Amino acid sequence: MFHNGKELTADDVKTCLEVQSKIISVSSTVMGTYSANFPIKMVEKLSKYSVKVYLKSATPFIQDLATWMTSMIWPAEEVVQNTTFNNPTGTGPYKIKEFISGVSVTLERVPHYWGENMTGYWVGPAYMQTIIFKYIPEETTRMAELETGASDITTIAQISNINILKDEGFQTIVKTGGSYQNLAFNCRNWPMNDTRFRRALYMAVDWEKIVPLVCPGYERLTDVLELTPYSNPAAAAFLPTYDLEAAKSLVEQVAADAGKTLPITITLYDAITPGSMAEYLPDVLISLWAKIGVQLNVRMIDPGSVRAVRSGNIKPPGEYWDIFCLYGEFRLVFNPRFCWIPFNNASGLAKDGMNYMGYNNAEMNNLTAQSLQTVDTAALKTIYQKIQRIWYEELPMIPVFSGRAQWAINPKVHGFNEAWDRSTCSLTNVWKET
Amino acid sequence: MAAEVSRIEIALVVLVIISLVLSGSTLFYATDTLNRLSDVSRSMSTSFSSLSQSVTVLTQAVANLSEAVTPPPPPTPEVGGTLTIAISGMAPNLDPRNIEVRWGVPMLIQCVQPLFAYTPDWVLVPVLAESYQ
Repeated sequence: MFHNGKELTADDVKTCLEVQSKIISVSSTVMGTYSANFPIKMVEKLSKYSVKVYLKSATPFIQDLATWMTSMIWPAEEVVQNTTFNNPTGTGPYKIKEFISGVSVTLERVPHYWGENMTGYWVGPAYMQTIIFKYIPEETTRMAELETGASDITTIAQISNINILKDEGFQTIVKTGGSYQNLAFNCRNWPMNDTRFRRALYMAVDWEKIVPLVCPGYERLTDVLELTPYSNPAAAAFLPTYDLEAAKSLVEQVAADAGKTLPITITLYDAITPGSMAEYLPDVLISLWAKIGVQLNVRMIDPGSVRAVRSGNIKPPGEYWDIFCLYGEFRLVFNPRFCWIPFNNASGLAKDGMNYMGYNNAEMNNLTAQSLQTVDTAALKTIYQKIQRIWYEELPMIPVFSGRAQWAINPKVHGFNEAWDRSTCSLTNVWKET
Repeated sequence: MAAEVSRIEIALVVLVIISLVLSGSTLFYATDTLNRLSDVSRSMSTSFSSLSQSVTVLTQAVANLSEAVTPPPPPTPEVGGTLTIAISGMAPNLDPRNIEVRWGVPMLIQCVQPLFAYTPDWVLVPVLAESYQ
């Protein structure tokens, strides 16, 4: 049953899957990431409670299609509405009571929630009668709210602030993640289209030393991919090692092969936003890459434009950018879940995918095509790990650092899961001592 | 002859006296040693008694410590009340068709559910669906 008392049937499932699979949206949204990649042809209603999903082609990603937000089910009559819904009728342990744009979201407990016997997530009913999310951009204000009891939980950006709150007796959660920062190389043009040059840029920086020094509060990131049962957890070993002389030699080779002289000039493109790489790294990179014969120019744009580029609303400025600071709330993931397919394939054919780099590798394209036709998990694992190795050796994107998901919590609050801000979390187990 | 006997007697007497003195001394020292041993024994007894008491005290302390370290039973969850979460970002909308990842999904997913979900170790579990083939 939906919260409004309407029975959930195959009609709702059919409508949701079909509509969601056709949504073309910006890629920072869930559907924008998935829509171009899940080849649903049609959904046939077999009975009141069963459907059959037809795909345009066989794909191992059908499991992903059936999970998480891509298969969210809400009433068919709401799904087909043209207006934006801020209070969709659901089936979960809470329902949306109020959405005030830019201010707050209020959830209300569903007392007769159906999921008391569920395994995993959404075991309910929930404990809290009401949950209010208050949007407070200033960190000091959020801290004051917590300290005065106006809020029970708050997200914290600065590690120094989390330590202050810990000393004051608040529960704290500090976890790597939430902001993965990579340098994406525009592989369409010389010299970035030369693997030797990309490797040289990586090898000229002692990332292990530089990141802690230059990016305080962040952690060195050695893996652009989320680890799953399909990925090779030791793949970071394929990254080049720090070697200034070898890096300089590679740059000289690249220049000589192209009939150019040093220095080779390239441009980094980003906006200075708090916590971004651009806030810390450019000056260091200018200095370090100068040692191998590379002159780095830095062009800054307004943060709004960066987001637009990232989101796919406007094309990346391919005519003049060589390096782009690429941020992500999630790392790239091999199937299951986010899977490899957000890149669609390595040839840059993704219309709304994430291959901003224009990276093209025939072997990787072939492996990606194979993966799309492979369902056997052992075989998929082999394919993905080959792709992973190519990725780390050719470096169309290099991992730099990641932020931390940090929370401070009133000691009287129990059951707040550190994973709540990820995709598959629920707040049903959270309760507060009176 | 008589004088020689007399000297011998005298010598014997002296020897006896010396023996007696030595015996007495030995006896004295032996007694003293025994007394000392007795004292040591008493002292040890006292020490053992003290040690025993110390062990008892220590055992009690450990018991007390154990009570102190053993976490109290978890409080019973309470139903009701308002939980306020201060967040640093906000989704522009809560429309499932266009939900933003970072700040939209965590709120929406409390209310609208998928057919299946993965556990943290990537096991597919049914949510709204009953089964699939």
